[in-house]
Amino acid sequence: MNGPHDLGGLPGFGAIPIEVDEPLFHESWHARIFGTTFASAVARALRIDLQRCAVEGIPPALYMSTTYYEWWLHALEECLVDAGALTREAIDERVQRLATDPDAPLPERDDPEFDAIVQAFIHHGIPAPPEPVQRTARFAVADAVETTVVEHPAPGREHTRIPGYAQGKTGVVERVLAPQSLPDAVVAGRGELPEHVYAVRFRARDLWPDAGARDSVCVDLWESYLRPAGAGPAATKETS
Amino acid sequence: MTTDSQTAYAALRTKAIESLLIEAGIITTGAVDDICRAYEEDIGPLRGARVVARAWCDEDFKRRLLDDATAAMAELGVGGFAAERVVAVENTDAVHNAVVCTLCSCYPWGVLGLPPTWYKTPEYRARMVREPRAVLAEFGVQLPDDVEIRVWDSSSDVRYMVLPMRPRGAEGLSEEQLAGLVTRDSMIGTGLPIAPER
Repeated sequence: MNGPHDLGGLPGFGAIPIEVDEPLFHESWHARIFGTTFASAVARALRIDLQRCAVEGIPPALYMSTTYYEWWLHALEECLVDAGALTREAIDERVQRLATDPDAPLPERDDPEFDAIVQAFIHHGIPAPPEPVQRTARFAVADAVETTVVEHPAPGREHTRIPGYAQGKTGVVERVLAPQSLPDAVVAGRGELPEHVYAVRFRARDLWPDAGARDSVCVDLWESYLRPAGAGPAATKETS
Repeated sequence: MTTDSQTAYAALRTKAIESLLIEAGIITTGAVDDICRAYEEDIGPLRGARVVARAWCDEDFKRRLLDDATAAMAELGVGGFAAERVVAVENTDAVHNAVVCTLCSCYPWGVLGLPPTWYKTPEYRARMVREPRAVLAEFGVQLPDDVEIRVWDSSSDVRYMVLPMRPRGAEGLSEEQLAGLVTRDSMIGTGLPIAPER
């Protein structure tokens, strides 16, 4: 387990809380934190890998007893303070001021150019890098691969996208996906290291002895999480 | 457990951050409203349903969708944020696909809109990879024992959608009528399309 967020396969959870005809947002502040996080990403004041890492840094007991948009609020504040966009003191001070006047109007700032970029993000997504990454994929469909083991992860400071249940396992490449920046490196401040990503298929039984005999789980894994199967003692990956 | 006072505090803290970001010149006063409005009014599972209905009606489109879903969906104007790279996986008599994000809650926003709350809960994220048959049963989906359940854990920027099987008895329906049978959950893999009325 890499941190409190790394939930795949954890036992003890009850029925899925399915809500029929649920609203898009259950509280008005959920809509505000959603939109504020999105707008901060558009403004490049927030990067999704860092946002995820901040969520992962929430202490496990707190993570389990709070909900999705509370994680987002925590993460947005951490990321904006870390990036120097806002200070904790300014946020605390503003909270105190708003406590006496919670319906105070938002400050006025128009910028049609920014609003247009927001629309472009919503409808066209994050712009692709101008130059496609030229790289040769190390693995091909049907290759057997072994996955890395992340030792002593430090949630909230280090980050990886290989779930705990898929570490130190053997699977088969199901799909070869286009290169993506290695999130581990982005969070570690090592910059953009694009690598091919592979949808690796595991027999569910190889992950959990009580899983269905026919079933399988596919996980998107970056090239550096993988090595050819049967190539000797399992290598471990330092996360520092 | 979230109490009323925690909710009130979270609302204040969110407003404080939004206000300070506006004053710092990082975002605009209208940005948050614009973003929420787009997901409330425009971007929802109807988009994905149009894609599925087209694939049911047009073999060539279906091939393009399974080969490069991002490009195929762009033909219908479907895509956008959190759908920059989409992979569509096809249900058959032998394989039933379903999507989860165990590490956070990645979901193809530009195709299906924002995820339902259950998709983001620890219950779904923990259990779907390990006991999918029991989870699907809670959604009312019973699959034959000889069907492989293939769960896609959405751990990268690629977003997955399920192409469900066209229900029996849907012959003669228009593409638009077919789209009406395609539920959000059938494109996550926790549901099946609605059976047409006979």
